Amino acid sequence: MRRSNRWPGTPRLVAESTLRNVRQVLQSYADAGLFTAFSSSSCTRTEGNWAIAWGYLPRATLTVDAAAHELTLLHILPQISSRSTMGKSYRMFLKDLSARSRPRHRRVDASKVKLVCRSMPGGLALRCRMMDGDFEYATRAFINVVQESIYEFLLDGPYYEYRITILGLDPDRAIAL
Amino acid sequence: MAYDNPDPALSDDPAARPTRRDFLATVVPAAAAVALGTHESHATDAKRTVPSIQIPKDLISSMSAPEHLGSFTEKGGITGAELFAQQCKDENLAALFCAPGNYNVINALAEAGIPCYGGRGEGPMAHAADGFSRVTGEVVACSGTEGPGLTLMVPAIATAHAANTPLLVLASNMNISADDSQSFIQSLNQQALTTGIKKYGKRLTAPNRIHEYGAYAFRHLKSGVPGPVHLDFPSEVAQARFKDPSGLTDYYDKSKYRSESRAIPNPKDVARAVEMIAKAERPLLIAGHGVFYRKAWDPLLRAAEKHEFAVVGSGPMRGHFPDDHRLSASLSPSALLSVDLVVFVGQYLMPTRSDYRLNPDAKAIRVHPVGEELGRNWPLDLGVVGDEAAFLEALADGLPAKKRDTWVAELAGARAKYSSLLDGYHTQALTYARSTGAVHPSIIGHEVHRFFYSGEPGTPDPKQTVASWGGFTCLQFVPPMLRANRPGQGIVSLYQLGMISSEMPHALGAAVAVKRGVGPQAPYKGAPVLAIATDAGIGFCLMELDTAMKYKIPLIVVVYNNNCWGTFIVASDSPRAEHMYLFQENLRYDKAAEALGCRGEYVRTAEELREALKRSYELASRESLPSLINVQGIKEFSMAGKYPPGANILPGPGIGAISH
Repeated sequence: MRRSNRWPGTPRLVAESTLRNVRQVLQSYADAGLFTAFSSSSCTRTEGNWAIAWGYLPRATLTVDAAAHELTLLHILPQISSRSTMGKSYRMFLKDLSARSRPRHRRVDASKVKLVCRSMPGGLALRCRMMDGDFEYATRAFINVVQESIYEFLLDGPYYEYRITILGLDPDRAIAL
Repeated sequence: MAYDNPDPALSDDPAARPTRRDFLATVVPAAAAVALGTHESHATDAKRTVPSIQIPKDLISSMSAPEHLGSFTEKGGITGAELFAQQCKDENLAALFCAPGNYNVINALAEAGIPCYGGRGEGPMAHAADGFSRVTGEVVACSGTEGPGLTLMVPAIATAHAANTPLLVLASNMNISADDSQSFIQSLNQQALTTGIKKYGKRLTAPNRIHEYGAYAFRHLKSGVPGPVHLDFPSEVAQARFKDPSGLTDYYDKSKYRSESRAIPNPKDVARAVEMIAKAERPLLIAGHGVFYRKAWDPLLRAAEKHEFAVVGSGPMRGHFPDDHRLSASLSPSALLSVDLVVFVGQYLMPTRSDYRLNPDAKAIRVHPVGEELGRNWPLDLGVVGDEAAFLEALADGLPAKKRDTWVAELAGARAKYSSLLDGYHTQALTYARSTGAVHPSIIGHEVHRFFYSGEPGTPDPKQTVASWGGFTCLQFVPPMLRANRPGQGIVSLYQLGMISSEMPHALGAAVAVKRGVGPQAPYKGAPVLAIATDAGIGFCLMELDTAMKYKIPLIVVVYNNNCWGTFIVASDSPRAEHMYLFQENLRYDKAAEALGCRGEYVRTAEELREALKRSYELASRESLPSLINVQGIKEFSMAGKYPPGANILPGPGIGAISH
């Protein structure tokens, strides 16, 4: 079921409702076993923070700022800046996710969400902004983008040494923790 | 024992048997341009009158000797070892791979007519047994002596355990009367040593219960989820004599002590599965080793083609769904992220969602013969207890015919994308080869694919050649170029345990199965078998080339020689540690193979490799002659910074995956 933030009510109430619903969607992924760990921390009425373990990400922080209509995964690529070669490749990868050549079910609808990767202290963060208030679409798209980032970008790309030296994965595995 | 070996090289007539020198005189001149140096070295041998390497005449006579086991009525009666061998024969034990030791038992198994192979080390021979089972699905045995022999088999038992191989591990184990006395040598608490790497084990301590415990062993080997079974034989049991069966416990026929009955899935569960699959837009069935061991590939194919769902194989063997089928997702990794329903069938080792490349929104069904497994690691939308073959038969009957053109087209598109990626690696590799004078592993993948799987004129049937592979360095370049287009055509040697060194002995065991035409190998009886090994792995098992030559097993071993352990890049930040990862450079494994009576070739270009594969195949086909092709690379090819894309480990499921 999709909802719009153009419901009657104050922006604050809408944001609170959005946060609750994003939480439900995230919880459904946790229940499906996508995350190996999932716990909320320091939530306000319009902002939520979750510590998650997901694939090679042992302690990722997912932040939802419902008032700003944004979901952010800090350090999707630790110790990488957006201007580095890897960072540029990742930006291209994100751009391609909206390409019309992709199957419809794998295509990110750029009219509904905007994907941005941004250099932050400690590495590259992935941010997803809801353009039309469709929180469910945005949350699911965000989760899928991270999954694509792990398996299509990071594991298929020439980043084995990065996974060992920066992510600290076991050289004999180097797929997931 | 009747041994099916039409090879003239194993003739009883010594004059008819070609010697190593005869072979070189007739064959090697054609290969001399490869700069093997073979001529020179053998000319030198001739001056010194060094005797030729020969297959012993005694081997020929031994393998054609008549079967003979004792009996209750024979003078002296029947021994415990013979009783056990008789039971193994009744249970159709497919083969024994061993190094001498556990003498009473292995001699009795040979006398019973069970195909037996003796090699140079218990460890690699136990791997060979595992390889035999991985391409046939049959129960197979390995054996070793007392403490040391069993200890040497432990890595192979652990490998087989990780792969759920129905491996019967046999070992002698001193005397019951000397238990706990620390007497003499080789005493060992064997069962403790195999704890955690077996399905069932027992030290046989009551001679009159030997048949009863044989029944325990075969119940475990042939029922439920397979796994190794370890029996250790004290001398009092192996050498006990029986003059009538009345002193034996539970001396029943196998039809009485175990059952072939299987759990039929609940029809309501099947109906629910049918409903979910029919409702899905992009369903995927992951066919694990349970599908192979239950020989359920035909109902799987029938169900997939009727309803057009995608299939990807998983597990320690490949081919139970053909790679060359339009519904195969094995070579379409990027399409896996589109899947909206995944059905696990016969997936004995369950991944977590992080282990597998699948869509986060995909629903999940798991079918497993044991209820306790359902829900492990992967939350399910439907769990079904039941036999894999019965479930797939029910699915094939219950699913409506359906066309999924869009999904099939997406699979094809993803396949083309992956193929393009691999072609890109190869193009890159050719430039590296030109600048370094060494072979990049992508070139091995490409040349092996071209010869064995392309179907080009003058090359083998793409469904024919069984291949095993191992080693880290080649992972993203060679396995994706191998094909398993029919059941039992591929072995994933690294599967789950990540054991290095098993690829060549796995291929040796598989080649025995092919040579004997066992199970799915029957149409390809006698065809050469391929092993893709690395210099690190071959160091553990090179001597088994003697075993291959001794039995005239047509094995082609390609060794990627990059002068180091594959993980040497781990030392890139530890200059003082790097030496531990390095070997001498340019080692001549080919010469070592020649010294063991096999062929050896040393190659440094794609063209040389192409010709070497062709020659090796022809001689393996025509003369059952094993070859080792030493492919010279350099360690730097694993470094993405210098030679992208460097090394990689591929996530499952699909071709090149090494876990789950």
